[in-house]
Amino acid sequence: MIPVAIVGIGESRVGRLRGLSALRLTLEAARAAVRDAGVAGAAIDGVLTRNFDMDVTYMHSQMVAKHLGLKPRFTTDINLGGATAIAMLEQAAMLIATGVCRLVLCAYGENRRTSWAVARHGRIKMGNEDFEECYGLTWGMGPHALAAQRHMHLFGTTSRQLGMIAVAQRRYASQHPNADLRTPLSLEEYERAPLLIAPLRKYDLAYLFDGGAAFVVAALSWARDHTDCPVPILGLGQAHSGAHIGYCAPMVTVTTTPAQQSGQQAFRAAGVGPQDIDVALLYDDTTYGVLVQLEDYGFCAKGEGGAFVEAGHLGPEGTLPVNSHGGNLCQAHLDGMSHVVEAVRQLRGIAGPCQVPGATVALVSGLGGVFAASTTAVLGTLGLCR
Amino acid sequence: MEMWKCHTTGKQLPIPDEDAQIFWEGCRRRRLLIQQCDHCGAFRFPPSPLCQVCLGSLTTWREEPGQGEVVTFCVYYTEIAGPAWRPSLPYTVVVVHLWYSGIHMLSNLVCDDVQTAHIGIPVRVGFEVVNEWLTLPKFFPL
Repeated sequence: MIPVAIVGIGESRVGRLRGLSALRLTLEAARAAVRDAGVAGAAIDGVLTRNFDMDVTYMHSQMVAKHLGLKPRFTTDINLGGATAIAMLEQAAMLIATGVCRLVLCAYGENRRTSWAVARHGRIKMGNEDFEECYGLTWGMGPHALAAQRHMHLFGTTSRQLGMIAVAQRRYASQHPNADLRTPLSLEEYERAPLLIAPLRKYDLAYLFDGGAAFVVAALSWARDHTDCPVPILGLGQAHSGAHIGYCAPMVTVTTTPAQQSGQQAFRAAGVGPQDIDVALLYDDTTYGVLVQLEDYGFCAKGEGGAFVEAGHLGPEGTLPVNSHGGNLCQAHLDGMSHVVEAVRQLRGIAGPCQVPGATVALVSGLGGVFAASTTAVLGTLGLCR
Repeated sequence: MEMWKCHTTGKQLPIPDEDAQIFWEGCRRRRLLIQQCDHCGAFRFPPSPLCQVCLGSLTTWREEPGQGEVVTFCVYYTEIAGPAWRPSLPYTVVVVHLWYSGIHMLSNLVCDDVQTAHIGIPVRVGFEVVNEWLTLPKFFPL
């Protein structure tokens, strides 16, 4: 275990925020995290960011550092899609463990919702333009539909079971102070809603949001001396499928993801197993993404994700609360940053109505480029909260 | 749903680059050309400069007969891909396992009824002329 902890978290407002630049969303979240850590901005000596999709910018992390008035010892931007947030966490841990940095700020914000439809130069090339988009496959959701179809074919997973995931997460979001989709969703409404990319329906998919989130990482020894409630990182993992979002075929013709490997890495480092997880923040571009990770992390056997969900394990009354903030599906889609923020809120015991009573161990996941990159973090409390 | 419409007007079309030029030329001639590594024999798709198995550079483009079976599919009922796709709705995207080369190819299943698509059905490749410089490979039920 690398002795580091998350000492500060921050989020901007989320939703449809026309008129707020991606940079502003990033900076507001960053400032909130730095203040939450109780440090002066100038104390930050490491800055990790994710570049904008809609306005890819040269030396992006250095630009963010400039706007925060910082001259970091180390800065870079990282892009592993939905796996970015935990990759940042691991990169921050390595910077601190090697003594290169003392306080690392990780920040990402973007206005995908209000800027996406605007024709701008600099839209990032996804890589799937030449062999997928020309057939009408839309990156992100299309491949999930392909993968879900195969899972349903092999294991009998049903749309209704996916719907239960959407319903459970919406219940959480309705109680979250900073969630975008707050109205409760019934299973009937889920089933009445149209098929968009069959077999996935309207409420199976995460949509675009404007927003930003950030966190600050420090050495555990520093955190113990300077903060009230640091959240230690117990284990980390990262694994790849060998494919890229540019061509999803290898990832959607199988019903597993590299979460199997990254989960094992993180569990092993943390010395815990799935049975020890009190709350799981599973990266959720779609409900299917949640279901396949339930299997791949070992919460249930492969193929039994549907039955696991149907047995009522998710949600506030279940044995495994998942995405207590509502997730990408309902709260905000910030490439997994909000999953890290929510895990810290849970372990600090400040999640309010969404609080999982007595949560002391959290699993946080990232899935990037459909299922190409999987990152996993196990976070704990170690009884450090005062 | 407009938030997903990241393409302004027409359908997104491939832009042949140095690595894929021969593939698209093959399509114009109604041939499916798939790279096979000269060193280790592995087939690969989409076109790539090196063999992912042995890092070999030397490659031969083989003619793939284009028969295989559907491994998975999805059906679009809404124009998430952009307004240019509305007239095509509903349309089916398939991943086909091609029997000769063993590669998986993603494309459309061309059929009147989207209920035709099932995992396991045999298909064969056909070619759809898009414009004077672009022909797309698509799949038809056998």
